[in-house]
Amino acid sequence: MNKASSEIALSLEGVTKTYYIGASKIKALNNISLKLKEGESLCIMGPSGSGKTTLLKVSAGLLKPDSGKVKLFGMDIYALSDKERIKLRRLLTAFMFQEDLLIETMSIKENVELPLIIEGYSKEAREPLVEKALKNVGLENKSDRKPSEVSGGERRRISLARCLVKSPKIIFVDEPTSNLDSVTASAMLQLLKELNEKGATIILSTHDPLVAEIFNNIIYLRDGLIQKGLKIKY
Amino acid sequence: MISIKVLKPKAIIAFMLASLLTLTIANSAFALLYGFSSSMLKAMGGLSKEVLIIQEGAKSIHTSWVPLSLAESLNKLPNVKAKPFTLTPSIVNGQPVIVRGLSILFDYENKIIEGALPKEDGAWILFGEKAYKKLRLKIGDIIAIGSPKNPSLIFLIVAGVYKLGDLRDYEAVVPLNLGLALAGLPKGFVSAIQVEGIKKEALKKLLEKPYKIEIIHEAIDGQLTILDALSLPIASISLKDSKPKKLELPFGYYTFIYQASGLASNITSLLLTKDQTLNLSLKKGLFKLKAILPASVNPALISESGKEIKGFWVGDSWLFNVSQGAYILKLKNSSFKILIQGDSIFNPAFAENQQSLKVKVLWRDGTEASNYIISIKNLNGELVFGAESHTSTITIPLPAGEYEIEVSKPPYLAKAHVNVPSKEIISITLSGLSNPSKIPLEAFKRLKPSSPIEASIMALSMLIGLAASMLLALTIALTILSAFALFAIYKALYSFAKENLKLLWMLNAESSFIFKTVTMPILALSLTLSLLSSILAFILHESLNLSILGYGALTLFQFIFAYSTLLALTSWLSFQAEINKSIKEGFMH
Repeated sequence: MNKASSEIALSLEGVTKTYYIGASKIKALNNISLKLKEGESLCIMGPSGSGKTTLLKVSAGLLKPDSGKVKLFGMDIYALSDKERIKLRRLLTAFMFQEDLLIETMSIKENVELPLIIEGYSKEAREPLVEKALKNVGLENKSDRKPSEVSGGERRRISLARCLVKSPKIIFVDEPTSNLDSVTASAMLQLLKELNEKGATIILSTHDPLVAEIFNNIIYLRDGLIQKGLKIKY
Repeated sequence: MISIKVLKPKAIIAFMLASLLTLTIANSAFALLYGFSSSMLKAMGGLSKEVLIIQEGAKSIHTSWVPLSLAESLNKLPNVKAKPFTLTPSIVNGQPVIVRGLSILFDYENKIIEGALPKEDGAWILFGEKAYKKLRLKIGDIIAIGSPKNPSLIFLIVAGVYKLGDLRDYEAVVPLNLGLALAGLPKGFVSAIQVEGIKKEALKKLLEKPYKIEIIHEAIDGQLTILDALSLPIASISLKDSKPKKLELPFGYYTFIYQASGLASNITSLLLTKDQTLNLSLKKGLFKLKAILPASVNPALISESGKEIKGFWVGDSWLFNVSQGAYILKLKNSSFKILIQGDSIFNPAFAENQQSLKVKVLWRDGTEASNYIISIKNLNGELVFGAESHTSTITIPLPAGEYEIEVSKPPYLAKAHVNVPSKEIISITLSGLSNPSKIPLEAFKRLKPSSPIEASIMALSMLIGLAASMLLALTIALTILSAFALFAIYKALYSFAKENLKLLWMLNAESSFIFKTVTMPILALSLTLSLLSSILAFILHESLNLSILGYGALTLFQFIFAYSTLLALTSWLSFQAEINKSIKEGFMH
């Protein structure tokens, strides 16, 4: 196992990922390299199909690249076994999906506490953490409702609360404002910014310029290639 | 209850209902299929150590003809037990019942649950428990029974009810002679013989070819009549010239009787298991000569050397102990030359007789029959005359008295009772030549020892006919369809839950967590459904009480449950495999 670095939260070295759809070959990531320090934020921009979500999933340890290295706090995550990688992901990361991946038959509270159940937390240990996460996203009063009983923006906030409930070091967020009206989108971005300011490393993908205004590092992806370098202040 | 929420309650309810329905259909089909096939195996009445002799090429056990004498002969082999039986689809009270004709009721002893096991043959019938209930009978009822082979009704009294715990509980049992009548079998034939104590191959070897017998004798006046194990004459040979006589006979127990005017000598009996030579002149030992004479006659028996042999009055005749050879029997006014070859009966009335009986043998259609064996027995059952006739009409010298005439042209046998003197020609009609190939030798060539399983397979395909074949095909099709349906149901459950399972995986749930919270409860549910559906199928099967030709489908709950569990487990494994595959591929497919 690689030795962890306290400074660099995420690093990618020559990461390539190709999809094969029938006879055609789509290079989603083409020799991507980047580094991100702990507590920083990174905004991945680009048009649809540019490889933003692939880069996010590869970085989060959810999708194995064809080549290259992905390190989380110095650990080469794809050099680990599946089991070890899951443990590491559980320990350090949270992922907010583009789609509202919620279990509709569970209440908002139950959806939020799901990562803790998977981790094996007791009911007593879960309750204050869920309460805090729901409070952070302003849903403490709707915890017993079903996801289908709240608005699209609130559903997105449930997803965010589920990410926050374990206080992860790195949060991966896929298109946080898609399908949201401008007010709700703004509130969501504000929440993410506050989290970043509190010390969480945030990596998000978007094609919304409004998002890019808020976060300090931006990269542009097109056809799997980074069009502009890191640390470009918008 | 996370598993219910992940798998979605509505999907689980739909899964439960669909699984229960499909499993119940599959289990019912299996119960029927298993029931009938096991029933057929048991119907053949055999345990694995037993061999069943049926007629090769017979379309079913019901149309098989096997000589009854073979059973008697097999019983003469050391440690061999042969049980002849008939098996006939019959109609009792308008409902089909398979009727078994038996001469030995050993298997039924201590199995009577109502009424009693009759001690001797008679007009009785025993019912298996299932048949008894189905027909709603009572002990002492008089039932009318008919069969396609014997349309005239036979009236029998219900004597008892037995419970053997196998398919025979769907049958009825009658004495063998009634079984023969129902089966429409000619006298001396049964449907099949169950044999214990000899291996199939050994039995096959014993039956596969006839054996040669060479009879060496001096030229003597008289006939040699050969009786089979049932004392039916099967051949008669003239001994007038001294040429050795050659015969070919199948395996069997045979008795050789020398006949001359008024004399019948039991020469020997043998179990024919190999080629043999029979030397009539070499016969040694003491024999009994029974002279049918009144006590007042006081006969004198003189040997060839002139020695007088003393006789004893034994109540109905004079008895002499003699060795093989020629003797003169002297009465008051006459004397007779007697050749002793074995235990003999001499009736001077035959020799002195001036009476004769004319017998004409015809087929049922009125045509003349020839080449038959005619035997005449007195009222004591003793053979007084036997000959092979090559013409339809035969004239037999017989003293006055009552006699039983038997005309045998195997497999046909006709009997008549006559009073001599008779002015009329006695006409005897053979039942009909419906299948001339079934003469004993031919029949023996066609016998086939089979294991009960082989016989059952034959029976399964032929006995129950097209309807059953269709039922069989239907049940197999139902079973296969049910298995496919079950796989589809589990696949649908997976599809409904796939998004939630993907979420668990993306939330970093390990496969062990998914197994514990999702697939394990489904396994428990599957087993519960399997048990429930087995109970439902069993109740359904028992209440419908389906039968073919009167045979029910005997089935066991534990077999249904085992089958059901196997189906449910296989389907569950496919569900588990689908989840594992998705986890491995990161839910990308």
